[in-house]
Amino acid sequence: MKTETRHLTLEQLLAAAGGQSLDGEAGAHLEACTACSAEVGHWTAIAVGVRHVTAGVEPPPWSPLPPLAAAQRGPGWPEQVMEAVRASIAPRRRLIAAFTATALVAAAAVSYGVVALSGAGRTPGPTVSTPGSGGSARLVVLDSVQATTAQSYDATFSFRETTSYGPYGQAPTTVTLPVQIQAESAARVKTTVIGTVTGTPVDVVTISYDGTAYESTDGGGTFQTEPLSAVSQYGIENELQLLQSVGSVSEQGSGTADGVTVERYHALIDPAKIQKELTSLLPDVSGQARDVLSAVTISAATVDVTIDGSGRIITLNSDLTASVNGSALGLSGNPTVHETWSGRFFNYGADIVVQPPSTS
Amino acid sequence: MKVVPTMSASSDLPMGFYVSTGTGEDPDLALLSRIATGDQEAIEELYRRHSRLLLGQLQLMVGQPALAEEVLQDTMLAVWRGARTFRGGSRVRTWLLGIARRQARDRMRRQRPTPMADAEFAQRPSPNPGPEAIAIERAEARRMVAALSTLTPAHREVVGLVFGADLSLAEVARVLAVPLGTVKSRLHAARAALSRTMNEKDVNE
Repeated sequence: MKTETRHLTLEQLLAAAGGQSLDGEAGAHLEACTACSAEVGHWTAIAVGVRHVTAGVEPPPWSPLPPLAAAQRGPGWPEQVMEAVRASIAPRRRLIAAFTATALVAAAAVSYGVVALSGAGRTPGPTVSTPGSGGSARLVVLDSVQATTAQSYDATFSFRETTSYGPYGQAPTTVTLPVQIQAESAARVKTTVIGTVTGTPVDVVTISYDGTAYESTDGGGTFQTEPLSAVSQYGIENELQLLQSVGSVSEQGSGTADGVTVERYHALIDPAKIQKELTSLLPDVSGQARDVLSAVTISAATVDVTIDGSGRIITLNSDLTASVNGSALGLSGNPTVHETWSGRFFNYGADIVVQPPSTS
Repeated sequence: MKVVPTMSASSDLPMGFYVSTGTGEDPDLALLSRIATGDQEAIEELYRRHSRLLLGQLQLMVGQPALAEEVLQDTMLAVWRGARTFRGGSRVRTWLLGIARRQARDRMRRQRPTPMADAEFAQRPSPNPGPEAIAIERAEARRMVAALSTLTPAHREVVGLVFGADLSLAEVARVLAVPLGTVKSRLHAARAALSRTMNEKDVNE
């Protein structure tokens, strides 16, 4: 009885041409099939030619890496930039670097809170537009900031940032940090960030208290103070202020969030407006931090919020994309940054007390 | 054939971070782990292990020995800087070939393509000189080398990765960031082009 077998696959033909012996049915077929043998012969001729080229090369002896190259280990530059930022900016601004691990992120974080903070000294506005009250969607969203900060609340956020670098093996760097906020009022807010940034523990506590900012980078062990006016725009709690740069808002219908009936809104943030605010910061920063900020271009930002019947924000998710002019910083390629904040507000009106620390 | 996890064709980079325990079977993994910590002896060792392979492929790609050596240096520098980014989804040599390829393409983008200097190859001594049969094979090999020089860079690249680097088709697909089917079609196209060239030479001679 004649046994018919299938012709060899390309993989098998190449393996045979590469000198591997085929076992079993494939091997038997190759011996019997003139067509497959001819195929292997064709591929073998190519293999021999290729190996004649590749095997004949002689690499030069290893040369030690140039000192500068040797210093650039791993993704490298974010730490370098971060170090520059640490060295050149004020303590409060170092906090931003600690949050984000890259100066670029600092810039982006700044962009979130860069709109002049009215929360610290602001009197809650009396004309809060609630969903369905006839105000435009944009007005509702704008007013929700006031409605949210007009009373005490807790909030938790997850901050995530991914920095993508240029080619050649540099993988994106991702930083994820949890942020907890306790607000007694708009003027008394405590923010806690505990996490790790590129292997460095971050344990930051900031307290804004009646016009003064206190900050601790050792988990509340010691605090430094700065006038709120000098630092307020950097407050993490001012994530809310991103909404002040709203360009357009669309209603997304009603639903529930955290068990609360809400209206959902999708807001497009005006990149130009954020960029303008970012640029306005430049006179206040120096050295490489300024270079970094100058090199950042925010390309897109959106915010999705849910707002309860009292006009207060229940959840807030934002998404921001920025690019960096790498050449301005002496970097190869143009890194891009993608940031997201995902948070929820709760315990509205609860008995939350924020106290100023005893400064060292 | 070895099955290797596929990578998105659009991905230009290995994603994520690789953390090596240094105890794996592949010594290259331990070397990469050491390189990621700034160990220059480790990258020198990696160079010893793979520079011939990489240079051979680069030679096929760029066609000029001097340029291939320059790109090899660029490749090792990129490895030095990016060792932490290897996630272990492929063999280290596959990863290295991918980096070398990107470096070569970057160089070639910046300068006009230069025809492959087949004379450079033809005058090379065979790595395995032997008896008369081998001499005949060498003559055939030189004819093939000359024909290889007429291939497009993409076709030279694919046959080089299959027969020079001994990668599986799946690994080739990963290095080239193309689907497996594209690798196969390029191989067939390369073979057809080589056959045409060889036949033309036979007629002319």
